[in-house]
Amino acid sequence: MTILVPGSVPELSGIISEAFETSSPLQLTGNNSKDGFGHVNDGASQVSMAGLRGITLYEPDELVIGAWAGTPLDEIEQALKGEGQQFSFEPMRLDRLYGNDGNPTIGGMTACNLSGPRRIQAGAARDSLIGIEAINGRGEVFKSGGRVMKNVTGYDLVKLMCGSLGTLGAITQVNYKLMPCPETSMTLWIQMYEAEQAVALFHEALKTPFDITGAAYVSGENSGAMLRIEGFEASVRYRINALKQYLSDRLNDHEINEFEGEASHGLWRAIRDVDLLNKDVIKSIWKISTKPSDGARIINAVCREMAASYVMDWAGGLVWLGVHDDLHDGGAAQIRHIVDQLGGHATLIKSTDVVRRTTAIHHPRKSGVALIEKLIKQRFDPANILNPETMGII
Amino acid sequence: MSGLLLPEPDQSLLDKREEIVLALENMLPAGSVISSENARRAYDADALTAYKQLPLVVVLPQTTQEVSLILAYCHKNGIPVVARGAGTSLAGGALPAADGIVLGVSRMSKVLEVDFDNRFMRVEAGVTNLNISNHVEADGFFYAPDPSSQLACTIAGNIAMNSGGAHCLKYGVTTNNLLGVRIVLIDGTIVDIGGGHLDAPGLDLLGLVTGSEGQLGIVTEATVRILAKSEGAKPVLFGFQSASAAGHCVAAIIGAGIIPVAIEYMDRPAIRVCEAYAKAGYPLDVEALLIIEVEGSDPEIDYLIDRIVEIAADHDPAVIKVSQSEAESAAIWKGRKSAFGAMGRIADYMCMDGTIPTGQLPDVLEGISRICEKYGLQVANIFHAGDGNLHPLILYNANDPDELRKAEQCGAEVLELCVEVGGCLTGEHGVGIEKRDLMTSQFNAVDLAQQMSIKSALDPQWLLNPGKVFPLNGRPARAKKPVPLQRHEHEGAEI
Repeated sequence: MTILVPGSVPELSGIISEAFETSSPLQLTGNNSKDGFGHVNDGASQVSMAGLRGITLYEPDELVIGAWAGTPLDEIEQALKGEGQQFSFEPMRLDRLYGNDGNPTIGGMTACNLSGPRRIQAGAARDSLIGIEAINGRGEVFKSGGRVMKNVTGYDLVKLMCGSLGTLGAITQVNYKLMPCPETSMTLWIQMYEAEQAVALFHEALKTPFDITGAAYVSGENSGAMLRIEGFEASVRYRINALKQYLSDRLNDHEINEFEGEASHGLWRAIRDVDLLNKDVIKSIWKISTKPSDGARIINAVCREMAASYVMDWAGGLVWLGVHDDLHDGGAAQIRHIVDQLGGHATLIKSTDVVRRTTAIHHPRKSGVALIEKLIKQRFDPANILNPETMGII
Repeated sequence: MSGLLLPEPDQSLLDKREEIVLALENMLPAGSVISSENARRAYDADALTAYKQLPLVVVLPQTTQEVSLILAYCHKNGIPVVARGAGTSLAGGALPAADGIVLGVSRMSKVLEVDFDNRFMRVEAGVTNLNISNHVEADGFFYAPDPSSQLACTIAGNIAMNSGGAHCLKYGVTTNNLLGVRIVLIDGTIVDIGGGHLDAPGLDLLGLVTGSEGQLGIVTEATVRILAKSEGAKPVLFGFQSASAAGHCVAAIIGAGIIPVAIEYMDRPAIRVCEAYAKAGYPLDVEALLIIEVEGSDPEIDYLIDRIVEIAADHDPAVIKVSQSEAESAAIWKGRKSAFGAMGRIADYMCMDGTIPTGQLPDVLEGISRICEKYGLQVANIFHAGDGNLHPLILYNANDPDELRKAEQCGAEVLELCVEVGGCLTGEHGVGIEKRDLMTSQFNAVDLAQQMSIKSALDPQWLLNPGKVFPLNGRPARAKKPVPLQRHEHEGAEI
């Protein structure tokens, strides 16, 4: 299949206008690092943002960076590292999970509203995104937000575009606010064999004033709960000790280990990128967002019905579920039934092409929300040509 | 009344006033409808006091169902609706329409659910900002956004304007601390968006609703994130002999990787007025004052303050004063948070709300002085220095119509300067009616059309807060007849 790679905004706008005139569907992509996610959009022409590349603005003193959508994340993170800064939301990488060597772009990160373990403390990409430029389904270029971090001028299309998976427009430029990299990062690893126990631990830990920036649980061989604290070294050491003391008073006979520096980073990178579910035995991977207290309940209910592995992040509020059974819908019906009873939503992240063609990737929305989504989609993309069906907006 | 216009009132609605009042009285419990002219006067303005407009009638519903009935009726009969929280908008966001009703949410003020394990609270939309924090304070939690009007302002208004506050440098603004809303669309449809989990499926409708100034629907309930309080907090004051020294000091602190919870700035005129009011111990003989607050345990606070003081020393501060007690800290914040009120004791003022890239600070302050001098008006500057959100207060005499017009023109030039240097018209107060006609300086026709298309999709007759946000010229033709969005039903979703 031909992939169009426009090198300028007018060129991209021309491609979209023409597709609008002829009602021809387009599949918007970056470097295809997430190829394997979403519906299989047969028949759509691929348009890659990779030709729109480069950092447009970087003011370390103002904690702001801007870039063209096709700029590789590596290039941006390299620049940030040079100034001791980072995206606070710890964007996850999906290329390894999908077995792609594509180099993820900042536009793809934005369109997917990616984040990582620090989501519980620092928000997702949508919370740091402060400005966008995009092209709607008529080929018209529009902008929202800007380059300053406090801005309530007009409707917040920045949030709306973030995570819209290219269904409302082709994002061409983005501006993000930044955070300084913490001087020190330390992790407490607490041996634990039950997800419920971990959730109870997270409830307690997050009621403390120690500003926890990661709370995850892994099952299996090295089953345990992890809690992360970051900041200036003296402060981190103080808070880690205080937290350890607080938890020791509540836990009996649980082995507690400390990790810091690269050892700590490595643990969280593996959680962030779902490395533990990246194995052949797993046929379908689900991302379930729920109330933290329901994370373990969902895991237990699903595991009663099918063979599955899991990782729990966001203090229980995010469950990564790897289904071992070769089910025709990847487990959608059973998993969504369980999630609907407790509240939350389940997204199919990875499965076979057959399952992806026949199963709703995104959790069906309730009628009121579905109505609003449809009304908005019509106004941004009246001919329904941009990533049609991608988000299950009907 | 000065230059800003509201849409031409519909004479047929004005003629039907009694019929409308009667219909509302019939659908709502006794005491919910305020129709006498005297009682309606209390709702004819918000905190943008230069503008007053008597509404047709005021309704104070107590439930989401009542809001749904009211909106369905207004939709069917083409009656404009202006939602109102506590009426603290400085941008005229709650200014009534002459041919419309004001729907106040003040009687919906119950806390519905507190969930410490999941760190959220579900409240009715009329709860005040401060009451949310007060409700959980004893348990060591708080709600982070803290606008200066937090004693009075409601979460409904905070959501409508995406309000910020002094501490949003670390904790973010309303949109970063909101998990869900129950919203009533113009045709009465009740929709639940989000809930107790961190992100909702599909498009980020919560992000869209936040900051939409009551134009897309009326929020009746909110689920907000609550956070565990830090062990302690302490402010330190720095006085500088120039704005530029203060500006460079802020940049150096952030450049060193320190993000204090707040960095507040006041210039000489603001310092004098606030000190006279709050007796906060502010130094009076400096050009610029920074209040920098850090959080943590005592040793952590001491460590951070030492580092900040060390960095500030390179910028030649005239005064360094670390708070020595809880009482002193409280007085320091009282001075800052009551700044607008204190200023109001000495003069009328227009409070601007532009944001600029922080590197532009000294140049923009100079520009503001130049503009105000040109108009012969005094200005006091108070702002959130860490994020570049400026609040120049332009002083004028409200009894002199000529001076009001001058103050408005002066304010407009100040905001245009903010946009010119890469900033925006409003950082946390909202567009309302005040900045409506300046929107074209920040957005082109396509940008505005894209925003307005959402308004038209969700409110085809443009009945919800119709006079605000978008310039009256260049609006799409609005539907003349009610367009059903869908049949009325409450999906009964749990939050």
